Amino acid sequence: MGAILGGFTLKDKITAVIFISLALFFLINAMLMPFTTEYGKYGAPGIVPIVLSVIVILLNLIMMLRKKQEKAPVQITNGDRKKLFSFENKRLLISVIFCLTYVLLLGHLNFIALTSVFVSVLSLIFYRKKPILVILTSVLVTYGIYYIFQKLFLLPLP
Amino acid sequence: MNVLGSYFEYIVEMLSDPLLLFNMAWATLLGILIGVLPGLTATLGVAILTTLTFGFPAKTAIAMLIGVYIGAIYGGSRTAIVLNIPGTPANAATTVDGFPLARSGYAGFALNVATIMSGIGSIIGALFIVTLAPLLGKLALQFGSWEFAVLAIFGTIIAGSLTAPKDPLKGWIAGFLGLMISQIGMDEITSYPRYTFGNIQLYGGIALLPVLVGVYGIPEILMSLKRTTKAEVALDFSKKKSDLSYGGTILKNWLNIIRSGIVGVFIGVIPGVGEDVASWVSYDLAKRSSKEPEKFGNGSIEGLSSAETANNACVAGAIIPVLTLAVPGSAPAAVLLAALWIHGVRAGPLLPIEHPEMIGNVAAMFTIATILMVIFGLVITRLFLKILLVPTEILMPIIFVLCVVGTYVLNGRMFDVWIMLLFGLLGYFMRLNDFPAAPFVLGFILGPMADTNLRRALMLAKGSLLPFVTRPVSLVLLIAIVLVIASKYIPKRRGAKNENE
Repeated sequence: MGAILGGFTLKDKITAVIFISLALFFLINAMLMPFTTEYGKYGAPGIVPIVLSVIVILLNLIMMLRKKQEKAPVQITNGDRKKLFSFENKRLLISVIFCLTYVLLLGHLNFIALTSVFVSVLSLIFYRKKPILVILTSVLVTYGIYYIFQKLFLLPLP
Repeated sequence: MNVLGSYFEYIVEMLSDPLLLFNMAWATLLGILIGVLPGLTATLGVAILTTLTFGFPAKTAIAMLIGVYIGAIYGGSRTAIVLNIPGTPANAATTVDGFPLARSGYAGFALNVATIMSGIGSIIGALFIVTLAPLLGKLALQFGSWEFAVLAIFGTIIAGSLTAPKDPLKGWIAGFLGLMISQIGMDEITSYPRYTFGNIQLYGGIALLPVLVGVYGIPEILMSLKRTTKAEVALDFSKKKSDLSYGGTILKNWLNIIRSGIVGVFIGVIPGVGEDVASWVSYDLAKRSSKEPEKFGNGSIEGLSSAETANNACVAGAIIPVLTLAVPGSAPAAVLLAALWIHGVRAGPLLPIEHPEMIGNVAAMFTIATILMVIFGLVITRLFLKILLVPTEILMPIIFVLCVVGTYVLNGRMFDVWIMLLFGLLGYFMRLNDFPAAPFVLGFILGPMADTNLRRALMLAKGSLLPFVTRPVSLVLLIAIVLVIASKYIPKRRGAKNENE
């Protein structure tokens, strides 16, 4: 995708900032760890995290500061791309919301009922055909998962 | 230790155990099904089966996991040939010639050739397990803290280079991020809780399986659900390659097959570099050495053979460092390593001493799983393709549920599910920005090894870094690191200079 959008772009710089912030968080916390231990100063728990977070920061700085590459040919027009991206992002957002809600409700509602509803609703949002078959498949598959994990292999489900 | 001799004994022993055979058969079949389904990777398959086989004896569980691994890598070729979508990333090179063959009516021939070649690739791999693993095991016994510390860094860097050939910097960033994040949890030397912030659930560190399922499973689910384009299915079995028999294909391609098998195994041995890279490299080699390179991309049987032989041979290659060094050669092999730990088998240099039967057993399991895979592939493969008619929109929510359930049953706590989701989002973000997942996961696995061994090395040498360059294996690995980094940047600069001129 990066190649289509054209080499090293703003996206890379934003990513670098995010990763540098994460590495700084690791670095600062590593600096706060004890430097003297019963194993001497070389046994200090912060040594390796410091080294690794510094390497992550350096690598991301290189990514942030490197020159922009030549742009790869754009295959579709900007208008089409924007339309496609916004439509795909909508689908993505719906999927993420549904998945998060499902996980949040797990353990609070009956597993078979919740999972059957989750699978059938999410499927029907994107696949608006044969609703009865989709619902039936969802219930059967959910029961199958429940049976295999809980009954056959005796593994506890949420 | 005569591993080769015991290998044949173990095959006979396993063949006479009907329960083991039954379990291996359904696991291999499940693997093929997982491989056939785009979006379900071998990593996810091995991860989900790991949780299902908790209660099984170690030998049965390991045999089943090998079955599902081999089955999945092979099963992906079915989708690659008829759908032009690799069922697993390992089958991406298969699409190049497999799909044109299927489109021109030779779907049946292409599917069977892929089955035979995958079988041959796996057998070549099994032979390497019994010959190469003991050698590597002996070498690994000479490793000290210095070598293990450098090996962890070497593995991460080489995985980064090979999985992100266009932009290795991103591969290295992914790898070092994995190394850094793996430092969360109680430190192995002083038991100091690092980055736990008082959360008891983090004291044991972040478990590998939720990370693997998250990084590999969630991005695939989200990508598939948001995608709006539909693929063309080429299920045309009308023509038969009457001018070329299967035997003739093998005879004509014998050199290509052997070369692809060997390339597959050795790429598999490289830490973190999996079947996808193996099949592309051997495909490229086959094209370069072919008398008919123009056929590549238009339905070349040579191309299809090389890709399918290499990816299955690579499975064995990826398992070799798991057994001897506790370093996974690929992502599914990483799950296998975790499964070995769960079942009390401590992989690494001491494995041949603690479990002398393990290497021969794994090779025997590999061989039996291959035989099962070929039988299933030749007999019921077309039935499996019916699953491709199930719409992705229905399949993906089910796969999501499997990811959640598979992660939950690991420790019976929702904490792991949230970790899986968190890493899933990180994996999605990384994929969107062209950061490869493999070096991240490898870094995450090798992090504790790097940490403990680096500090132990410093303690033993009283802070001196000199042993890193005076010990031969450590020095060789350090030189290899420098060469890998240099090889990625020097030609590019020279090329750029030429362009400017």
